[in-house]
Amino acid sequence: MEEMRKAEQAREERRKQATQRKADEKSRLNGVTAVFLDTETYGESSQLLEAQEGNIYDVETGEYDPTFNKEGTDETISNDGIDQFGANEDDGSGGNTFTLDIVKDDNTAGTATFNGGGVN
Amino acid sequence: MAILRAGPFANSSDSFLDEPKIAGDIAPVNCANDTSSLAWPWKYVKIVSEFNNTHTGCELDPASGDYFPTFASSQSDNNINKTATEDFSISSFGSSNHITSVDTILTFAYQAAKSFEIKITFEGLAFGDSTLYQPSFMGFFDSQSEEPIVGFPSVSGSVTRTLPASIVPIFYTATLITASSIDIEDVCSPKGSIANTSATLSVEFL
Repeated sequence: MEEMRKAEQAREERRKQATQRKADEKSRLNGVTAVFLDTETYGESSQLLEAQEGNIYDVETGEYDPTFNKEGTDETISNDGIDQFGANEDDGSGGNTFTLDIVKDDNTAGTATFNGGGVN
Repeated sequence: MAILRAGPFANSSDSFLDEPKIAGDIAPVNCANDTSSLAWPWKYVKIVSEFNNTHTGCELDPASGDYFPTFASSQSDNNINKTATEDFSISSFGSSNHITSVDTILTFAYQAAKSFEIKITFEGLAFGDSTLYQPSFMGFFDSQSEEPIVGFPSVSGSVTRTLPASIVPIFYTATLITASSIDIEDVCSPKGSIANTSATLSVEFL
């Protein structure tokens, strides 16, 4: 029983640490990409949402590797972040789209549409 | 490589000007020779500057006891921004019982990813009674002319111009000046006949 209680305490401690890391990561992402970490943004099945929910940790095996996990999450965040802007372009829900008139290569008038986090 | 639009108007020192109330040296910036775009209409400025000198009558010179003719001069400048959806032409007329001279000018700016050609056809006429004479310069020249094409009482012809590619607005101007005059025959009686000019500039996108 004592060993089980210690194991449960260890799992709880790892969950707290993971939650804190995720909160820190969320704050960083908000500052850099203005992408919000919620289901509306990432969808129900995205890997980042799974990370936010703690589902990539194997608390049963105790083989959780914080360094490896963080690197993997960063990569996923990066990819999901780019994809998310693309999703905003497609559904028109993004508020940072603007269009400029251009002269096309064939000398006809055209437009170029830009999407992104805004004009800096 | 696409070119971002400048304008909608520009002058020699600023490529991004709003539409002016009076054109002055400001011209609309077009997308090359594309007159089909509703979003970016092809515009030009038509400028007609008319000078007239009119015989109004006579007055007595008390010192000599002679009568001398009196004249009145007037100058009008009319600048209009116009839109072209295809080949187009502009024209002007001038008239006076003594001297008339009209500058007929079209000007525009453009950006182009590659060069394109336009053909300018011009026809200027001066006419009046049997005393018709040339009071001043009459001829055609444009931005690429090395020397004007002159003639009296008529000047006509056409030139084909290659307008080079340009990222920034580049200007093109064509000018046709017509002038006509008739002699006064009675110092104190202005003539009933008049001196006239007509001018037409046509632009064809090749």
